[in-house]
Amino acid sequence: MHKLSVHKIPSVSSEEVTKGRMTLPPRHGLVAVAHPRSHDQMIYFDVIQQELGVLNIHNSEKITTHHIECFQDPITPGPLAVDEEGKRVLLLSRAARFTDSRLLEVNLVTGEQITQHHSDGPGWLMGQFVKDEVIVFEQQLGEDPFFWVRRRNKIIWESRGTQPMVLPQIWSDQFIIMLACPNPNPLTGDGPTQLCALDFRRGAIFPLVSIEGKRLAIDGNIVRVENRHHDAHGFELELRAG
Amino acid sequence: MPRIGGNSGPTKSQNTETLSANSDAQVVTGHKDLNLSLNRNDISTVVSPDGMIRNRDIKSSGFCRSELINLAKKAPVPQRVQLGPTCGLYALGMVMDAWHKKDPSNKTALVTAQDKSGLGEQYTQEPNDDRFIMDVAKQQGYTAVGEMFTAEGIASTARQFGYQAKTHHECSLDDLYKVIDAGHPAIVAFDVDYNGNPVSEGGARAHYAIIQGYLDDNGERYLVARHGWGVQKDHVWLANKFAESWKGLESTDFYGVPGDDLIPSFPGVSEPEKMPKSDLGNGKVSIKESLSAKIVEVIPQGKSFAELSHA
Repeated sequence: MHKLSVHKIPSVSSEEVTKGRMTLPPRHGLVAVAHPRSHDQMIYFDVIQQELGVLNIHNSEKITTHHIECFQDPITPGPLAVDEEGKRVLLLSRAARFTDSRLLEVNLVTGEQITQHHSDGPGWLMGQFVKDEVIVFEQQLGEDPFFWVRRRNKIIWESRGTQPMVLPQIWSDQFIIMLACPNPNPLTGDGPTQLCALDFRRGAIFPLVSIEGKRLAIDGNIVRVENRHHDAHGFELELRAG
Repeated sequence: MPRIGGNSGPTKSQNTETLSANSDAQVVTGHKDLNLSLNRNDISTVVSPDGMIRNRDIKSSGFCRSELINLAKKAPVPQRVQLGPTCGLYALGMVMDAWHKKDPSNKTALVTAQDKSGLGEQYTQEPNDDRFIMDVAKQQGYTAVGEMFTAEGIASTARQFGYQAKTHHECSLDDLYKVIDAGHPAIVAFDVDYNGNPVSEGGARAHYAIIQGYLDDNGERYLVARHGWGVQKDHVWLANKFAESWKGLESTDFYGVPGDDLIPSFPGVSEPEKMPKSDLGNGKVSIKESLSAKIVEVIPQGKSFAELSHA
């Protein structure tokens, strides 16, 4: 198995990281990610309009739109995960604010919608594509919160308490990089987070470095950790396997 | 053992005093068939490396989390689960419920007409005032759809129901403990994460909660809170983490550009008259003056407000 190490490299602000790459202006209830196959397009989900689509970032022209019947709080919209082709999207779907959750896979070309996972009661779901597979991250809230990571309907990691809703990223065909609190405080149910590598084949988690963040991005061996959604503070870390 | 409440007295004798002053805290219920009586003399303390006298580790207490929460709550409030962006109004409703429960002549009311079908969720105490809290807040000019970005709006609305209400400004955690020590629920705003816990987002996820109590464990102070999500009835938060979120409320994009009479998320709805007006120029309004580090204390007539150092 690889031995993993992590090195903090000269940090740059997320503003600098995204310099030269056009983005949509932030707006209440709007989540948008870069199209993996086109620098001119973004994939967006408008929580208020319940509209998922692709738009041309230069002229805001909508290229594809699909109505998604679901509720998300505009203040706290969940993340979008997009496959390598930019054809499939994973998003959180609910009928109402605190009801059951579904992890919905939407085909941007055909509009087909598939429920990848369903969770009873209050909580949330995220998913991430690993080639044709979907890794499911499930947070159950309530009086005894619990968090699970699932692959092929098998639990590969679980933790009592709550974990941050930060979309994990795929680093290799073996590791997911995620922000997690491996040992939550028994009173609060949460705690300081660490950048962790989760071996999704073996189900083992490797805490790498203590760090707080609101968003993760991976570019090769470089992990970018954004501290806050609305400012430019960020960290860059280099992952090395050897 | 953990120390339950009693900020001004971290010694054994003062702990005993605190518990004896709060008869509700002496009996722990709510854990299946467990009905545990707390022997006041069981609360022992240790001296921390910093010289402060703290209580022993939770692990040595023999109490489970829910028992500790029940012990810590000096100002418990009944749960309400909010409908819409109405957390502040439901927080006020929960506090009104708490006072109504103590004295049925104290007023309590539903937030909206929609609550009528939500017995057990949107309300647990039968209202004795036919008005809706949302309507009253709207008439006061503080809200358009239930949002309350001005803490004084909560206090003002409470007064319309016959309560005394005070907004404490530039508060510290010590001020918060004094309100709780007085047995008064403390309405506060903070940024909420996806799990219903405090996070520091500069006000982007501003939300209201009621602080019901506090406790110490292993050298850390914790708050016991409840809010309108209802995903977990009683949240336990590190006091310092809450304080960072509470004091860090800076701005919201809820209103977009103030004064344009448009609310981006609610097409066709006009801005309220008494919304925060400090335009930060980037589609955001400052809420630092109206919400950050505030405590709204709502009490029935005849009671006295907690005495804070700079109130």
